[in-house]
Amino acid sequence: MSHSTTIEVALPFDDAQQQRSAAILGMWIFLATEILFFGGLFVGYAVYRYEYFEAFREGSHEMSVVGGGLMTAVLLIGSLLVAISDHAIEEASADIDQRKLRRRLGGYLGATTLLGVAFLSMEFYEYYELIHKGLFPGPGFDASSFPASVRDTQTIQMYFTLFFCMTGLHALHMVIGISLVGGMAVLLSRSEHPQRYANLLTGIGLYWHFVDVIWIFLYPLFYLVR
Amino acid sequence: MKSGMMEHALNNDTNYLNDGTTLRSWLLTTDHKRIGILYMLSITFFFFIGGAAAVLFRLELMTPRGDMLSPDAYNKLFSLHGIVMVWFFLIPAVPNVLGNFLIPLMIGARDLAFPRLNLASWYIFMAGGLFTLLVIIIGGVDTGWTFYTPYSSTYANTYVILAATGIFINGFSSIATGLNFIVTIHLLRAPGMIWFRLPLFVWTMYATSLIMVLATPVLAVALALIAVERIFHVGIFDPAIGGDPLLFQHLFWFYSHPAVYIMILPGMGVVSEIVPCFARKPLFGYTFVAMSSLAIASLGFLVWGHHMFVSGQSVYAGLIFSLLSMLVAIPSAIKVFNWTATLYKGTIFLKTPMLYALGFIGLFTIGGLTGICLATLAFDIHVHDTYFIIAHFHYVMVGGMVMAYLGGIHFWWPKMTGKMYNEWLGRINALIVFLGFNLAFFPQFILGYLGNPRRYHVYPDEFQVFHVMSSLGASILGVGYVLPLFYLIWSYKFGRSSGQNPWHARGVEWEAASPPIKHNFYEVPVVDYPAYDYPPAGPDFTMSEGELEPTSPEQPQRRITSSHGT
Ligand SMILES: [Cu+2]
Repeated sequence: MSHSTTIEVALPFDDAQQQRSAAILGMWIFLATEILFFGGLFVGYAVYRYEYFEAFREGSHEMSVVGGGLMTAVLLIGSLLVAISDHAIEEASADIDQRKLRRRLGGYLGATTLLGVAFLSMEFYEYYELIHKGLFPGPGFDASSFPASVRDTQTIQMYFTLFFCMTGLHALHMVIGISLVGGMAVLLSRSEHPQRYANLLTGIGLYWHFVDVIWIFLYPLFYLVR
Repeated sequence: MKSGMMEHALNNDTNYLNDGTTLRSWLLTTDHKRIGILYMLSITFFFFIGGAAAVLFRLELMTPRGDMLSPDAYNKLFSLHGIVMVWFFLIPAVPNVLGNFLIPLMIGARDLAFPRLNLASWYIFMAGGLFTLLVIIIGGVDTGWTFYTPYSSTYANTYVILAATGIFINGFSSIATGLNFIVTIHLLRAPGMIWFRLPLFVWTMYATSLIMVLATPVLAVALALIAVERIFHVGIFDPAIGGDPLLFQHLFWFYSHPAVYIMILPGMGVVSEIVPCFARKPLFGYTFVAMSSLAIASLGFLVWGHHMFVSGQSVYAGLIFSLLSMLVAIPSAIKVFNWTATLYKGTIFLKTPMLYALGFIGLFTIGGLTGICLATLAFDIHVHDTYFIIAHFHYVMVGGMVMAYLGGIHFWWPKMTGKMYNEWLGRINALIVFLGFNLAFFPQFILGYLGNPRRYHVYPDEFQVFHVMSSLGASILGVGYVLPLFYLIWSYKFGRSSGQNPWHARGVEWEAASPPIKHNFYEVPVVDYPAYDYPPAGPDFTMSEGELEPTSPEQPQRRITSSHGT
């Protein structure tokens, strides 16, 4: 590897290549645990959607498809920028102009951070609207605007319980992802040798893409399927 | 202490134990061996907490009436016993103590792939454990270790959320350890250490790690949903507002059945190391034993419904889960048969670790066979929620896993400390544990079959004789658990030096000094031989004065890269 000279190899490893493989394998295994973590909720969604499909149909009419679509677009652009940064740091040769590389990485990742914040703002605005309409599940839930079939059985609440649980957990992951990517933007734009952090960036990038992929499933399940 | 170690660390007298003796050097260590020791001390602590709860409720069960504990206190005690023993002893026992200590040594690595993550896992474990203890001190939880809804989510007025939080935190430690092991086994094997030269202990650790990584998150989400339901008063599992309480059971057992294999596969790994060494024979059917671990790990994910035969799940689901559960018996039996075949015509030395290993094989077989009984729908309905279940899983987890853990500790004690414990005390203790265990738990099979339900502190008078036997056995078992604490610590302080490889075992871990140096090997070993390369023909050892003695002075030597071998 062209930049192996600038990487300090940690003790258990023989060389930089092995260390990189370990970092990436470790991240994939972590993401596998995350899939199982979200998996429990997706199973819950499947069960209740099967049992109460009418409630899910009524519930999804409260969601803004355009707003959700916009949020999806914002996330995907962020993912693209992370992929470009990862590519840039991977491909850069050791004698590249470090100042230019720093500026590019800082720019891409800074923009990703802002897009992430934009996504969360839109999501929280949606939460605000739903809560305003009395659709936050719990004792204060106001089902009066729904047909009797889903109102009297309280099954309509299940849609919103799952909506807030699943998108809320996703938002929590977004907060972590924004902190990580934002931190990387600062770190890389100040570092003398950004390439030393290539493994870190790849790992954080994988995490960011994963969080996006979860949303790619949440969007159709809660917004598009009516 | 130092003078004793001079003998076997010939190059100099530093090893991982005396390389830094301050508290700081232990609390901030990233050495997998020291972290293993930290885990050993902590799980021993939790083991005795969980054991103390068992002492109290076994005392209560001496009489048919509730005369010592209120029903609430009884409920809290068995919940405490289950939670602490499962999550803070059994699951971390072999993986986090012996696995941490041995995996890098066995595969010829300098450390685990992520040493700092390893240390972090210990801190997370301690945080989760101490948090759970705090819950117990402020009032406890009475849901049992299974947290069944809707009791846990709607009705229980004990500290359910806090207890769930302690377990949730602990889950991260499990995941971190499993992840670390998988990456280490994939990437850090020494030159020549191909997959099919790995000791079977490493294979079982790999299978266990897969379960830890893939099952634990599902428990986490199930517990989180209980917390959400209690905090926001929503109805995820509450049938009154459209929730499905069975969904919790599905999620819980999707974790907890595979978790049973987290609690037994590592024990099988330990036994697979001990048996060939003290039979002086290569392990019979290496490939089958290795693959059976992966088979158990993967089949284990498909059988959770056998905990729900009487829950009202569909009978067809019951049928399939029953069939799949019986299939798990095949890889388990493969292991038992191969250990037995290894013993056949072996030169068997009944040293302390071997006694534990033999105890494991017998008791695990009883636990496993009663498991097949329970996988049978009709029989399960008769004994569901009775002491039969209690007896069954204690035969697997205590008769199996705790025996294996103790066997492993005795087998690798010389490796960990460089000291040898008193062999006769060790053997007598193994016998005490075996007898005490059977007296404690065999009567519970009868109790269960006769219909005594679990989780009650009162019972009909005619059951008293079995309960008294069980409590007596439990107190004998208690002696067997306390005694090693004393003679092992004594041997660490004052015991004689064990030498580098007192059992003349053939694993790569024995090529390091005992105790090993900080980064394990002076030079990375080259592995050009299979696992368990015990000489195939005839006894190569005799027992003289309780010690293994080579029959010929010339033992096959490894081309070890440095000259410090014994
Ligand atoms: Cu099970």
